[in-house]
This record gives sequence, C-alpha cells and structure tokens, in this order.
Amino acid sequence: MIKLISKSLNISTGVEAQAHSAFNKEGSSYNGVTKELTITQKEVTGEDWRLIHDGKKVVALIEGQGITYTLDRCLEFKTEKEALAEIDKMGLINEVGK
Amino acid sequence: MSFTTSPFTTNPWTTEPYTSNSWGTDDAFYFTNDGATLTPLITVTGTPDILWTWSDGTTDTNANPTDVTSVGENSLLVSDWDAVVYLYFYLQSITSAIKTKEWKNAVRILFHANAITGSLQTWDWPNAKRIQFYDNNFYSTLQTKAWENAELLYFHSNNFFGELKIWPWANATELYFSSNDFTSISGSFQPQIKMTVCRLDGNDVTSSSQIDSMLSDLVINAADAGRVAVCNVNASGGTMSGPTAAGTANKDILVDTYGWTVTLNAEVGSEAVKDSLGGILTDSLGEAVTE
Repeated sequence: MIKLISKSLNISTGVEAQAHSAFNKEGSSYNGVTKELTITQKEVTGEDWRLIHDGKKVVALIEGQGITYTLDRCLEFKTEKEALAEIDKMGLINEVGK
Repeated sequence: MSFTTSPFTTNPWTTEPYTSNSWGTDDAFYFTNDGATLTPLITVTGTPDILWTWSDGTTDTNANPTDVTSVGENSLLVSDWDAVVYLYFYLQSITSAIKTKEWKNAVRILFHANAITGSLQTWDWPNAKRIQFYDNNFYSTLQTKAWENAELLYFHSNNFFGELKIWPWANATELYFSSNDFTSISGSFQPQIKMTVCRLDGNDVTSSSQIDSMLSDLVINAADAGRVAVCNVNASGGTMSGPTAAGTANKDILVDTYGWTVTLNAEVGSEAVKDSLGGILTDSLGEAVTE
C-alpha cells in the first residue's frame, strides 16, 4: 500500500528550490509566491515487492517489510519476478545488488 | 615448507584414517565440496606455482580448472599467495568451514552462494575492492576491518551474530550486512559518503537508540559536500527496532531534504506498531508496556 504525504518546505528562491534534491521528484512543485516547495513523500507498507525508481534507474527493490519512505516513484508487485519483468519492460537501469 | 611437486601432491593412502592428504601444508587453502562439478577461479600476476589438489588425488595447475568432478576435501596452494589478485568461488557447493588467508594483493574475494559453515576469519585485505562472502552459512561474530579500498562489502544472508562494527570505509559504495543475526551496531555512519546502498535489514538490533544514532549519523553523511549520490538505506525486518520520534525526524530529513530512500520498522510506540500487534503497545524490545 502506498500512502502519499504532501509536505511543504520553505525555500526562499526558485533557484534555491531548483537546486533542492526534491525539486525534480514526482509530485514536487515550487510556488514562488508562498516560497514553498511542495513535495510528496511516499510511505510504502505491506508485504509486496517494492520497486523504487526515478524513471531511469532502479533506486531500490525491496522485499516488503517495514515502511519504505521515498520521494521517488513506487510500484508494488506480488513477486520479485514480476518486479524484474517490469524493470525490463520499462528499460530501467538496474545496478542494485550487482 | 610446501610440497608442490610429486610425489607429495597426491595422497597414497586410501584407507581410513589416512584418507585425508597427509602431505597437505598449512600454506594450502582447503575446502570441501559436495557438488557434481567444480569450477573455481583465481587470477594471478606473474607466474606463481598453482596447485589444485582434488579429493580423488588428481591435481591441476591451471588458475581456472574445469571438468573437475571431485567431491570431498580439496585444496589450493599458490606459491606465493601474494600473486593472487582474484578469488572466485561462486556456487561451488562448498559445505565445510574455510580458513581464509591474508591475500595481500587480492582485489576481489568472492565466496558467494555456497554453504560454508563455521567462523569467518577476516584479514586486512589492503587491496580488496570487493569482499563478498554472501549467501553462506557462516556462524560466528564478524570482525570487520578498515578495508580502506573496499567498494563492495557483501556479508549478507549468513548467520553472523553479535556486534557489527562500522568503519569509515571511505571508498565503499555498497554495504550489505542484511539477513544476519547482528544484535548491535557500533561505529559511525558519517564518513561513508560514497555509499549508495546500506542494507542492515533482517537483523536483530533491538535498541532504538542505535537506530536513532545511525539516522543521526546519516544526516551528517548526506550533508557532506563530497557526497554526489543519494543512498538507499534499509534497517527494517527481523527484530530490528524502529526509530524513536527523534530518529523519525532525521529519517524525514534524509528523505525530504536529501532525496534518500529509507526503509525502517515502525516508529517505537507508533500506531503502526500497535496495529501490527493487535493494538498492543510495545517498547523497543517488542515487549508490551502499559500506556
């Protein structure tokens, strides 16, 4: 299960916001009027396999336990095999655990 | 003294108790396998003497022997061992304990996916970039070392227990200590600024203060000016403690400010812990407490 948690960080300028590691993450946006960088933290629970990726490469492939927190994109799969098939299908670079 | 030439390389005795090679030396590396074939691999610099002695008494002097069907106690002798730069024992069905060596010039030491038992003796391995003993049955404490050149440290999926000491490991990019039975962590997580994977999950570190300390260190690590990549940290599963509220705050800094991915067990005393235990509030040791 993926829970989306929206948060706002006070960032004084757009340039500063663009330099922030969260700026280009999924669900992030900067409001120059309110000086707020809005980010979306994902909180992933459950026993499914969690594929965390940034659209280009695999950030983590996690066998579900505990709670995973990330700003990157998340997909859940019942099996590792399904997750690996999706990695291939999406053409993601997978250097995790090599 | 080593016996690398005939007639000392094979065992002339075939009846118990003389079936083990009485000509063996302390210089040799011994391993017992129970698989159908053996394809171990070493690479060396120069032209050292290499002698594989198989359990059936046959021998081989190639660095990469093939078509070996021996089952039982085998040995490898290299004179001298400092010539060895690469040891690769992947899926060799090794079932015995092994006695590692100093292997001063080894760049890669890999014993992956066997069933090696007993304790693991570690050395300085000053040139090793990849130290990989994962997916075995080692059962001992693990004495980690400075390993200044190590990039990959893979010790996961064994039965190491006791304290896991974390060293600066300035060149390490991947730390895998997951799926063992470590009960405590010492040392600092601040200096490993090249680290992109830190796997501690599936252990038994039940102290929330140690989890908090790790997260506090990692915030300093993440803020280091020399850091160029994000990191995936996993300290969940097993009987790992979750963080306290202070640790959770540092987790949020790692995720929200630095873009790291962090996996932890639920915060101590949180609703998630209560839910997973049917509404019982537990402390960091998983024992019920009174609200």
